[in-house]
Amino acid sequence: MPVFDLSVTPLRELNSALHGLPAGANDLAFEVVNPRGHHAVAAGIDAPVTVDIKGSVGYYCAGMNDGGNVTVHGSAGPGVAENMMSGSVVIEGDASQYAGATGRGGLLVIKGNAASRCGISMKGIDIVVHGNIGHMSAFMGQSGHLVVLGDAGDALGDSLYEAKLFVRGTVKSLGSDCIEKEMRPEHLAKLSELLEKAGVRGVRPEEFKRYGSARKLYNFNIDNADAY
Amino acid sequence: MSYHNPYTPPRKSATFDDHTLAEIRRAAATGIYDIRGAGTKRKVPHFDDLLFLGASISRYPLEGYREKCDTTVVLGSRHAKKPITLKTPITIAGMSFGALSGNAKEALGRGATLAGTSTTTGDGGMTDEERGHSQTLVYQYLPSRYGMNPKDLRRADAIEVVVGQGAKPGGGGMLLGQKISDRVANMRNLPKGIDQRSACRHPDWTGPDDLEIKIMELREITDWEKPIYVKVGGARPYYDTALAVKAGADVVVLDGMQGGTAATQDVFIENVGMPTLACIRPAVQALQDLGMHRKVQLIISGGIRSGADVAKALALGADAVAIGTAALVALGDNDPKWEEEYQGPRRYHDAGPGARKPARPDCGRPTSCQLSEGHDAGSADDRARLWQESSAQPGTGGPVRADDGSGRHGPDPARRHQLVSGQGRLLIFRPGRKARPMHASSKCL
Repeated sequence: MPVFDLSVTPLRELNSALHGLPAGANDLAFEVVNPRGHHAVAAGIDAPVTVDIKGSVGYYCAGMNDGGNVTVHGSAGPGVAENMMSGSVVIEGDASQYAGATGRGGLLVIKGNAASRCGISMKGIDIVVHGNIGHMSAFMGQSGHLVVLGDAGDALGDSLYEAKLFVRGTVKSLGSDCIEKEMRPEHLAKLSELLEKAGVRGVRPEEFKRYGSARKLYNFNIDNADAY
Repeated sequence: MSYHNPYTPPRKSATFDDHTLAEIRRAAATGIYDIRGAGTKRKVPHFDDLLFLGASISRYPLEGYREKCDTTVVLGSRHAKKPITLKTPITIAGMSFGALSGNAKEALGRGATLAGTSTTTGDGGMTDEERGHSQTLVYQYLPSRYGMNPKDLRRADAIEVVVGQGAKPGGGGMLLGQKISDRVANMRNLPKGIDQRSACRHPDWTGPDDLEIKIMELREITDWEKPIYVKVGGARPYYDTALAVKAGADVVVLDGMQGGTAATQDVFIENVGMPTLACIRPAVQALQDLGMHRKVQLIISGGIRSGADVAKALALGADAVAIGTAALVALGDNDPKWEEEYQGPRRYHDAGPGARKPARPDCGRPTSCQLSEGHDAGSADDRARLWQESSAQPGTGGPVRADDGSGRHGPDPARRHQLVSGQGRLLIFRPGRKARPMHASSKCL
């Protein structure tokens, strides 16, 4: 297993190694020690590698991940797994702002709390947060699922498109055009699947409420001026 | 004693001029404001206000048509492993797939490649048409991140982080439902027919310190190969240029307020931003003060119409320019030959909001709506023939604009959009109120 110690090895060497895997490579498990809050750790993965990061990272860890399975054994700075395409990213600690921003696929699991704008502009990613999330989460979320076992802050799902939001705790307030919706069997099934994938045990899907778009702001209309 | 009282024509108000009066009347009648394309229409200081000093005793000229005048420019020499070289320092500005059709993007790619310059993607992502036909393609990294994916990032020749544009510095965009075909909707991962809001700021960074980290991330993902541009709208060009350099940009793209947009509020276009001419010197000064002039390249856009404008921009210190509106006009946008077609919808508008234009336009000739992405261009044979005609005559492929009344509108059936021209005027109105376009298409720019 290649081990990169970022206290002595430049970040460029790690990311270069992750991007330059020859076809058919067998040694696909990487370990990163002493990440020391470096930015863009394991960014741009485009192969089915496994990366274990032993410590906390800065901005954009696993940014644009496409097929990798990254675990941060610590906390993550802003924009973790931004624009993820596929694969998985697991944060054992907390995540800062914009976690999973614009993600188009894959699974992001945050075992602690996530700060504001979690899942902003999400485009297909699935996000499961074991703790709470901050304000303006899922802002302009287009598709995908955001599952929150704890509470959500102000203006959840503001200007939401087709992303589906599930919150087990309280929601401080809903954003413009975001409403509570009926939990139908297909939603319960999807929620079960996501909880299972995210390693959540002892929590039933029925404990959650579903939120989605009222679809009243989909077409620009001057009569909606009060909503902005 | 006879007294002759000469006729005194009524004096028109400079403040309440004809356009202003018409706008007030229109607003009163419709209760709405105006969203339109293109850049500012107000008169601002421009390249026309500058002249060159010709050669004489103190300067000697090169022999025209004989001595070599090298126009090659290298962009991205600061950090990128693979800077790009352009034979012609006139690039094609970023314009979205969605606002422009695939055909138009391909045509621009083919033309730019022939001329030895680059094209640029736009909001909505990269199409195979423009990648395949552009020898050098710049990939815009935009706040909306529509269609954004790392594969396209890697197959681009350069990356342009778009912070703003001259028509609406600090403002987001609105791609209206009529232009959202299945393909556009799919690329953007949004329902067909809705008005697609393009965000005004990036979702995962704010400020110059974050931008520096974002640029570093993009470099890491692309292994430091690609030149990274930062595009800003003309607002505070000295500081914005300096901060872009500080954040690590290889190239700064500065777009003045004559630069176009697909659609935003008229009041924003006309009242926010700086004229292109006024932007250049502060930006060059910032580069010079930092010792980065000619090390970080400066691309100027917004109202570049001719070789003279290009030469003046370069003489003021720019390294290259970008053209958008002029390229669309070259493709046929707002050409007077489409006036008759334009008048058709106009008559339809006059019939009132209850009237509907047929969903499928007449396919007898290559009209603008047939060459724009959001419209049914008829049968496959029609499409093939249209493309054959347009590609056989480069630059005459028809206006690149959305038309109106396609029957594609959002889930609220009580609402209508009428898009008269992508470069012209858009009116949004409520049922029971009458909206009437007031500009002929050929007079919209």
